[in-house]
Amino acid sequence: MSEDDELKALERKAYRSIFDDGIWDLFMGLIILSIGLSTFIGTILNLPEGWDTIIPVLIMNIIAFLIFYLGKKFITIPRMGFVKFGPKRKVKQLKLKIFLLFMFLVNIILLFIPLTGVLRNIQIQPLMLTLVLGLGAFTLPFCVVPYYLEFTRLYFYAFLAGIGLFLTEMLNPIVSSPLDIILSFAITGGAIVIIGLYYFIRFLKKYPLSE
Amino acid sequence: MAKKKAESDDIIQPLSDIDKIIHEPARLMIMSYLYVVESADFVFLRNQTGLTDGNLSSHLSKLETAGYVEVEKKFKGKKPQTILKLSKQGRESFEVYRKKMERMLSGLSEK
Repeated sequence: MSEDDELKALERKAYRSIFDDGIWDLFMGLIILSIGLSTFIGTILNLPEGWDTIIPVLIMNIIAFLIFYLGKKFITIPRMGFVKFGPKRKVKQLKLKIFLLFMFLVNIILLFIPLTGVLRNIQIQPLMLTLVLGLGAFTLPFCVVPYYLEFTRLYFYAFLAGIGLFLTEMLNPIVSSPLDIILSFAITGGAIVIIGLYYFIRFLKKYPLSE
Repeated sequence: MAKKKAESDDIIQPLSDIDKIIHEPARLMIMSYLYVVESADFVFLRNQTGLTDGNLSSHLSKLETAGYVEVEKKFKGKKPQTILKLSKQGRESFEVYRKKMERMLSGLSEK
């Protein structure tokens, strides 16, 4: 390994340590969990059709963002310290922010699609539709995030996010709706939250708060 | 015999020009970390290097005295925060150090 490679490896090691806290995992897990739970919350609150998903998803996403922001600010930085990376990382982060903003707008549009009633006219086998929709609308865009972040665990989470809808369709004959969607996203999102909690606890032990 | 001595002197000679401030292992580690990032605070550097507070502090003082590291002390809320970054001189000295070491080590491996 040349000295240049060693310095690059050192920078990568320092950079990847920012994912030791498990907060990204918790954030992604909560976002996926929100899809299932929003249906549950929407049913409980007896919200009008269409809005029963939109309002709870927005609320849960805001909660996930708050956990991410406050967790990083009040838990991670005081324990792990603060670091600013070089210009190459900044460019990558900027590209990711632009992509996330774009995806946010796309998701807003997707959320409103059920209100238009277009989905009722689609004549595709439900299992195939959910698989294509899941991998196309969740997994592929989700894969851009770990690419820019160089955070490999997220590729697995992207896959889990994608199979959520497919799993719902698989569970549908066994459990009634909305329990199928709640269960499938509780399994996929819950698995990510558990992984996140494992990393978070490990982080708290590894990086005690200095006096 | 004399030729061999001259050859080994050629290889070893750059060692006497090596920057002693950077060459110390702990300081070399600190300089390497600060070289690959734009800036970092004391806590981050301590966690990455595994040095104790006292050790890190004393090495940073030496690097600051040499003009290699810029230290900015500020408050974040009520807590003090020490931000560290390599100065222009520090960055250049580190690059010179790397080139000298590389030249010397490659010279050794050729022999």
